[in-house]
Amino acid sequence: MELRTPSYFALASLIDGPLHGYAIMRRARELSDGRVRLSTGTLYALLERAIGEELVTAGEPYVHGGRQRRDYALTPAGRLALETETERMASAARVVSARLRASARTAPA
Amino acid sequence: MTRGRLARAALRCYPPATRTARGAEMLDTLLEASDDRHGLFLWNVVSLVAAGLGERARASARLSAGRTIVEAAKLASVLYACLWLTAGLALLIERRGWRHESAVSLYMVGLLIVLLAWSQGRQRLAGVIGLACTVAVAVVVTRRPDLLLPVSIVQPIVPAFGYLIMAIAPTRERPSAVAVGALGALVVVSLVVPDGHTSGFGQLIVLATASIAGLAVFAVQPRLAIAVAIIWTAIGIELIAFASTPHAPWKLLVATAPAVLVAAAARARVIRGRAI
Repeated sequence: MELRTPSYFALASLIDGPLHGYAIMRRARELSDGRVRLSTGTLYALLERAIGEELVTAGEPYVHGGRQRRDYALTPAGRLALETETERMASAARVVSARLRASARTAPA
Repeated sequence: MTRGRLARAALRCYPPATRTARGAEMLDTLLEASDDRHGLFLWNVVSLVAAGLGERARASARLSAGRTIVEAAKLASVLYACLWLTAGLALLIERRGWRHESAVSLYMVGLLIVLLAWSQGRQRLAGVIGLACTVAVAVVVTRRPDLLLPVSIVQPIVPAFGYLIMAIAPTRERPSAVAVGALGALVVVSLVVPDGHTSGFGQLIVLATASIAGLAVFAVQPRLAIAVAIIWTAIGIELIAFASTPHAPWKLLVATAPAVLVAAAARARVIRGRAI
């Protein structure tokens, strides 16, 4: 299963443990060096689909600091999907890097 | 409008079940994520609208093709009821009274019950009364052949199919208050616009408006577009079958329902195939 970049970083933000919605948004931004800025709509759309694909589980709702929250956790299937996607991107990067290096060596100065 | 109200209005784009399950959480996340920055807040609200409509689109794409067609056929019957109601009311207005047209008046009452039952999620009742109205329409049309646009045996048969499905396989699904209100308003408007009550014009207004609405919401929910396309195809078949010299555009009308069905199937495939 291919993951889009926002989903990839949202799932990656759950590697160290369950997080609530806003914490996922912040963590995904940190992990991507500010490149992925999840909006509320995007976050909940991808969480909904990830729950449907059993990549993520949703905990019970609770109130913290007057705000309604719910923690989301990565499932073993979600971890596997992340590993597979990471390997796929790394493999693609290795192939392209090798081609770029080879091209640079043969290019006229 | 306060931020909370605007965000809650945006949340209405989501299906009711999602709003109930996660609405409060999404609202609080949105307000927390937006901080005090107005631009960020608006960006989050827009994203909520897009995601809500996207979720509705995914929900409709999850339905099988058969179920989608069945639900569209039911809706086509409801639209037909509106069309016949418009025609009947136009006739009563033209004749200035229901006493002179007792058969038509009785038929109008039947259609009103169909629409009321449908609006309350009582599909079995709507279907049974609708079937009775379909049988009665043969009598009415014999007396008043000017009631509908091209009227032949085709027009009563198509809604009968939807009424039959309602009667034997009803669902408890209640149409939204917005949809019911819009249909009611459309029937009234079609009668009060200039020349609206003259033969056929009011129905054209209803059908044209429903067609435009169907196209507008097609990406989110193709049911209305399919329902309207069924009616256009039925009209096309009728024109070709009963006109002495059928014109080429009429033949194109027949292709409306197949074309919309193909487009709906392609849409469902694209939505189902999207990566997470």
